[in-house]
Amino acid sequence: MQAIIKRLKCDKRGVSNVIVVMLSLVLIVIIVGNVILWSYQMNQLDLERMQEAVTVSDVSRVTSSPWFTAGNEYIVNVGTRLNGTYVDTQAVDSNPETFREEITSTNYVFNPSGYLLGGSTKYISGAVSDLNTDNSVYMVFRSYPSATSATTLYAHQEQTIVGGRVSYFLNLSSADASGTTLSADAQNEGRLFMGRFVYQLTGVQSIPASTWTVYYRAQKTSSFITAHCDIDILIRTSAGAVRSTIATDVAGSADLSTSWSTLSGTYSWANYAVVDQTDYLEIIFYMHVTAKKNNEFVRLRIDDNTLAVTDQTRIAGVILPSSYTVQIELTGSSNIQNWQSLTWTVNSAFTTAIVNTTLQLYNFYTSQYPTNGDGYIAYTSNPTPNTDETINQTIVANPTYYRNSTGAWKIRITGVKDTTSPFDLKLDWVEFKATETGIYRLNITNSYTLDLQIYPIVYTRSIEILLRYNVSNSDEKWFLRAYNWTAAGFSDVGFNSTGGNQPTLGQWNEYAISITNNLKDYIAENGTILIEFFDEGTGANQTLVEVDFLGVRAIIDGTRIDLKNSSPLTVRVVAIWVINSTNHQRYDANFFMNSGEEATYIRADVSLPKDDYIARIVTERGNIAVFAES
Amino acid sequence: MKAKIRRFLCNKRAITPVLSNLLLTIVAVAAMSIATTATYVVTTNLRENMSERVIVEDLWFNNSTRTVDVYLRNVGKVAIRVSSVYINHTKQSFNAPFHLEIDDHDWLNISRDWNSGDLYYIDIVTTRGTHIASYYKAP
Repeated sequence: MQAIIKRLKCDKRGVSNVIVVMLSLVLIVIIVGNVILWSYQMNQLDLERMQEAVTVSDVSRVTSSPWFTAGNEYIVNVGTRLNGTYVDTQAVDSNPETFREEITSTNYVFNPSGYLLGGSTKYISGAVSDLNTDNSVYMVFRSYPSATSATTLYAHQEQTIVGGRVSYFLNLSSADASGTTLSADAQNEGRLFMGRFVYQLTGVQSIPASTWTVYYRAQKTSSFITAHCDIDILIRTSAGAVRSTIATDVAGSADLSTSWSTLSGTYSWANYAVVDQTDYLEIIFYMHVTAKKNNEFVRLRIDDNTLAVTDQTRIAGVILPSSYTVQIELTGSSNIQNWQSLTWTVNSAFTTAIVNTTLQLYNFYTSQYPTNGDGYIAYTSNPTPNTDETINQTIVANPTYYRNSTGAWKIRITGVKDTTSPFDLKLDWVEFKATETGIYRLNITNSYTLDLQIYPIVYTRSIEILLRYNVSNSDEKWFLRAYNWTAAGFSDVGFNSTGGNQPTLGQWNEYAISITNNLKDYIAENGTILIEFFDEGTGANQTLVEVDFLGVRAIIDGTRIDLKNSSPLTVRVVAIWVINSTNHQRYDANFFMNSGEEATYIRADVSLPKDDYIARIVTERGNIAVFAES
Repeated sequence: MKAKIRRFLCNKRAITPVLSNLLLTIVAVAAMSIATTATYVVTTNLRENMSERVIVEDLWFNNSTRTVDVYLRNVGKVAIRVSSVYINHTKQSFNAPFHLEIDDHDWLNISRDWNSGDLYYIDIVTTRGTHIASYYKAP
């Protein structure tokens, strides 16, 4: 042995041969092994495919899902649960869950839906819907002049700019300053400009005809001067343009004396309709010099509160608004239930202080707005302008007098103030709340969960709700509503019937309705539908209600495929074919069946043709099962 | 030191074994690389050929387009590409290139008119040579 090893070690060609042979063997093993391994795997695949045995025993049209019933106990919002459980409402078996009506007070809350302007009240801003809540979002109306009187406009020394011209104010109040003397050099004859005075016509619709008396507190510095006072009258826009020249060189006074004296002149003012309430009444004072004297002056004294009012420069007899009124009538709708009381509320504010306010609720029985008692509230608004005040009144005597036969009502709000400038009424919240007591009510809710995996909303044509119930009194209707997830409230908008169900006494009543529109609003993302079952609310007798069945189901135009997996392997269906003479339609699928399982596969999105067709299912391994319908 | 270097350069018998060993190593590595690559190529081709599985989910003699539409599904372990389509052993044009990844499926539209009641032998050939062939009777 030692000799062989020694010879091998010395024979280098022998080592090389062994290495080459070994490497070759490794390569051959890799090639063969790889091929055999993959061949085994593919054979396994083919074997499994051959073993797979799926048959379609039936294919039929499905028009609805199974009933989805309550999974939890009912929530009793009004009333009492007497006996039974929600499980008793899961099947039609005359084994019901029983509820009982209980006596309640029901509030019906209504808000205005429209308005009418009274007199010359002007709408400024806001919508009627702003009156639904007390949230400081207002509906605003502006008052109009409701009375006028002769007033005096006093010349003040405070100035403003109107259209680039410096002008003094004319105010309704007398002089309030130490006074200013307007002077002009009497070196020339003619009309010497003394000053421009303005009064803005805000809230003034017209200046009626009257005789104005213009008083001038004036003086000349020399007896050689002969002069008198007079005025020009015009209407000037806020931009400075002359809208109308009323009069020139009018209301001339007697001649001036060398001492201060109060002179006067008159002018017969004709009625003027104000074009724009941003315009100004402008009076221009002149000294009309007919005998001149160099370095001597003519003077006009204004806004001197040391003078008696009768001596101040002013214009008397100008007829201007002395009182303003805002009036608005709000209209709304309600119901015709048998109310026991009525509370009406107005929350409002005025942009001025102390407005005499009257709130009136129309009495349809007497066909007039009350002037005292129920339906009448008079108050003086807050001394602080823009302060919200909530005023309400509860009527317990004949509250139904304050609605008409259809439930319509109206509230009139009047605000009056003796003032020379307009103000605004700011309405924030108006509520008409009726209360009904002594009525037996029942209101229960529960949730039902659709299987959206099988019955997607997009393929659901409608949702059917079925109620089977019995009542001990049949004097009122019963209603079903569903929760609208978008509007966050129970609703029956989109239902095929909203009129309720009139039960027959002593028998099981079936009430079926459908949600045909706005399905997405009524079905939550997880498939939950909330159903509310309640009475009409007119029953004066306590009623027992037995609910034998209450469920929902999806109405579809789908397909039911009955399958059987006879193989020892789990089968996955990956496609469904529906083939007729005009179309070969493929639908992706993902449906598993265990070994030996018989299963029903429902597809809401697969509609079967009305004529002959072949339905075919394809498995993931590539086998096909066929069902022919003719 | 100089003497040692000169003696090494002049000794040709010392260089010959180094070169021969180096050459032998290069040749051996090259040969193994070629053998390994060939092995990879051979096994990959064999494996892909073995892995092709295509089924016909549906065949539609489409009356509106007057074409033969075949719905193919790749249920094998490798992507496939259809190279040719034969109807009654005659090559037909189709919506080439037609390529299906693993688990992919699509319509193969063969531009060939057909007659109702006739029998057609439709043979779909992949680039690796797999045939998906069968007889179909036009409705």
